[in-house]
Amino acid sequence: MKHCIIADLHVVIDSDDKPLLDVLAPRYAPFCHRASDCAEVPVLFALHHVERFEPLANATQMADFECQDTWCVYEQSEKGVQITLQDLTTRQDIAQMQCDASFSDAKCWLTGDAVQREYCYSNFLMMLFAFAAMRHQTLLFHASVIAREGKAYLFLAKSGTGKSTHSTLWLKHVPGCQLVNDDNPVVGVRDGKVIVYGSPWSGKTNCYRNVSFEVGGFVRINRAPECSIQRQSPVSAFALLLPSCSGVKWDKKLYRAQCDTTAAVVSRSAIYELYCTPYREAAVTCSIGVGAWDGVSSGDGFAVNEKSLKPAGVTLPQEP
Amino acid sequence: MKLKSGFALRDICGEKVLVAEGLENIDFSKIVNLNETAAYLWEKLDGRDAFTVDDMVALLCDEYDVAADVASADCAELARRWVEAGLAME
Repeated sequence: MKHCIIADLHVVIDSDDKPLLDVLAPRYAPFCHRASDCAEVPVLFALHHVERFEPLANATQMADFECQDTWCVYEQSEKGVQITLQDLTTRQDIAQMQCDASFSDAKCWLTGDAVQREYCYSNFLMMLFAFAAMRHQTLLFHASVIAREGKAYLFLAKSGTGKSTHSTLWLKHVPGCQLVNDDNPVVGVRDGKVIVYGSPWSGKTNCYRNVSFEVGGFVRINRAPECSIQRQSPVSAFALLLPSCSGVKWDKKLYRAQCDTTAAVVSRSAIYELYCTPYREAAVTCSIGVGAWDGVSSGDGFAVNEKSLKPAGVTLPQEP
Repeated sequence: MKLKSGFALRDICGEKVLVAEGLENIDFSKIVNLNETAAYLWEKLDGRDAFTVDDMVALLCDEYDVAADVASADCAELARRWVEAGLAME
């Protein structure tokens, strides 16, 4: 068994499948600990990899949706929850997980080569984490995250709107930045502070960092011909953050926990709406707007005051 | 009229909002911001099998110092907007 601590929560990976574990290793190794070192942290959930089992009897389908490169079917019965991953084109079952209603104990079977098994196992871990962590003031976000000077900034947007692109612009044009996670960071309210954690899930970018930072701001990215940034009111911020987390709306108890945590995050954070291009001025406008950077960079002995050239909210000529 | 079930009235930094929850509202993705008086009426009317605009006016006049004709016009307008927003049925 492998013991991981993700966002201060204890996750148990239980599989004897050596090739699977080898493919899992790069993502999960940064979060793994000796069992004795995390004995004091209560287990959030365990995912047991087992032989193929019978489907859940009398299950009702609650939702089905595209989950990265698979089709995901979510079913529920009095006994618990069943999540099936299917091939996107043939709709053949390729992996299945069953767990109790509180997502604390789960088993799964997998098919295909080690890469496909890892893909499905890791997706199950991510879904279990998203649902189980909600009861612990913790949310799995869909965001790209940059840290600078001890604080982190989450970029939210619909897939394809340019979260990763915006992070890349910060890394290139704002000095002293680092990528925390590029797709699925974890946000938790800890001792009254909002903290963002790296995770073993990061979309197509290999960025599985076991690091955490206090959140400096959440920014929703919208494409526009000119750059501007506005801080949002609490109600707008709540409406903006709620759909950015993985959740199960049909499960009232969990959904309330998600709303509670989102409200706690909103009351402690600055949340912004950014309208921007996919160019350098976007990173400048945003980083200055959220207070991550004073706009002064230096290099090659020249000090360039970005602020005087490019104040936040003003359209700038495109770079040649 | 009747309020639709499956909406939770929540407090977000002192503002009142309605959030849809559960299977019955799976496609209701909006968050509705209510002002203080609308939130007060929602709390009083949530769960009732049926109510009229006059019931709303009576509730409003119980709690707030407001002229009946003003309350009546405002309640009719609020009821109309609740129906329009998919929060209530006639």
